[in-house]
Amino acid sequence: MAIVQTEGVGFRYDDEWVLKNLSFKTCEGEFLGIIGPNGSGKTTLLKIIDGILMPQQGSVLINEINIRKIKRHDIAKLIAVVPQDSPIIFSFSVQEIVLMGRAPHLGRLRFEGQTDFEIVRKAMEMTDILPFAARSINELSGGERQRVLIARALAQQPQIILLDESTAFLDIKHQIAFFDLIKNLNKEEGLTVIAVTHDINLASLFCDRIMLLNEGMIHCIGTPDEVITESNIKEVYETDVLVDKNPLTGQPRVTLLSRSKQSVM
Amino acid sequence: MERSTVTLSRIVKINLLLVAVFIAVAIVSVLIGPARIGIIQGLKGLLYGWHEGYAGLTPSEKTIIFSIRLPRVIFAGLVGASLSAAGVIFQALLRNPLADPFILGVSGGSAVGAIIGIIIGLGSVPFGISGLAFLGAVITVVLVFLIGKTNKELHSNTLLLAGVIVNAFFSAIIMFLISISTNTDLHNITFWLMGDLSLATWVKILFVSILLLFGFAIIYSYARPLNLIVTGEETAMQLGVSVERTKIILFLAGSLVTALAVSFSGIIGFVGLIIPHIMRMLLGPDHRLLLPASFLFGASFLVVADTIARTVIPHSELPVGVITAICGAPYFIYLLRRRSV
Repeated sequence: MAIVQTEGVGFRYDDEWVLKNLSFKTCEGEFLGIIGPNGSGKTTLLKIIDGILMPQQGSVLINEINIRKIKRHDIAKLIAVVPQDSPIIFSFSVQEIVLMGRAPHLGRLRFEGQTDFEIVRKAMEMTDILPFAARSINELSGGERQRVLIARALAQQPQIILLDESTAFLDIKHQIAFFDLIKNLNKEEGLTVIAVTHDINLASLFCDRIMLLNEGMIHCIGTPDEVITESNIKEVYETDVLVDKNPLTGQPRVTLLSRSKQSVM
Repeated sequence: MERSTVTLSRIVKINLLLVAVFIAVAIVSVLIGPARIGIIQGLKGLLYGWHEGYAGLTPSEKTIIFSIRLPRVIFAGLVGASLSAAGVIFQALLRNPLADPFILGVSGGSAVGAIIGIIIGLGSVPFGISGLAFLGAVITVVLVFLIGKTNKELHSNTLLLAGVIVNAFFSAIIMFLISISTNTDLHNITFWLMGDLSLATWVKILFVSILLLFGFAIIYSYARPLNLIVTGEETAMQLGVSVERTKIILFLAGSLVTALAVSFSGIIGFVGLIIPHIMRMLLGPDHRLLLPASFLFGASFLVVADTIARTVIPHSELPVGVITAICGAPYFIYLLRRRSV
């Protein structure tokens, strides 16, 4: 059964269509990557899947129900988002921010109970932020803050998690740790993952399928082997790259080429 | 700074403490004033003086306590509570720590209404000046709302700009009205503009407290969504908040509460800016605790300020706004400096 499905989605902010007639399906438990150049509509597509933006054309189905018919707090029980980074002006503590992930389950008035605190503690443990649970969010480094936002999404206990460049500011240790954690939840608990990323190698390593977006349309969608080819990258990114196989996993691996260094080869 | 996470029992404990503080402050304030009433005598009088036949107080002492000081103290409490709660709302809603209840122009509209009331001589009509002031506030709220609302969305920045412009416009009208008014009116206008709690009556108290509790109940039921909105509107949506609806409800409820306070007491500055900051520093930014705590502490603060205003210079009375600003501005500078270090 398709857990997320779009049918002929078209979206424009002003006059220009950012997404054009976009249809795809994701099955439960899939790890889908979305790659594409700047301005190809990746983030807009994520916002449409989450119901933050409503498309002017076509429709989005979550568990085969039109998203327009699902209440906001019910969407939040199904879908969590890990944004890139968001500044928070008032100094909530780390634990308070992660507890906010329980909000869709609690509604407006109910207080957090023992189970909520337990879920939150586990989420903080998984993201390695328990040591500073009581610190103010504003005192943390960018990487630490990002892990707090990840923990908040985990505390939401969603069926689908949307990653919007979630690891762009993390060092390689935390990048890999984060994707390993998500992959683990994906395998063990059937969490569906849709990840927008600029890092093609990361996508190749973790995704079951990859969607390559170009100018608001799906250029191609398929397994990493099918999508990450020199010709596809060349067509969409207008850049020459070298694609070979990762010697350990056999997944496609992209090496960037610089015009100034090409003479060496 | 480390502090424990907000739980129901923590909210109850802290607020009970703040209620106790308010009661203590209120009792002391009732006993202080130019006409000296003994402490024991006054306390007994407060407890039993309601009965017709009570003989512990002279009739004039009874009048002073029950018709002048007690209503004034309670009224100051209501106004302080309104302004502080509204300050919390607007700081959160506009995600701007410098916001106060007057930032969207409610005070300006209210002032124009009140000054017109003073000039055309409504001072002796019950609810005359306050009624016009309230009307002015409501018209302003509608105006700012319509200007700030674009494409069915309420943008913080557009709202702020609308408020600034509306405030500037009303300032011009206020200046104009002041320039054409007579000397006696001028004194009343000045007092109104700086905040005046001397006209408290039990009828006003009843009216204001009913509407205030109604407004505050609505506001408080949105305490959690407000926490989420403070961390970003898109984040709040992702966490299940219907952001636009919540903002509109809170904007209207916050404005109602401000309009109530302003139209019955004039423009008392700094309370709605400083109390939310102090409470946020002491108790953290969680609105489930911050809202009621600011409400109660704001009440105590304004009672103290008003007691100082009416007693610091013998046989004369200062506008309470003078006291709040004199205490408030240096404290605020202190907070700013301490934070930057």
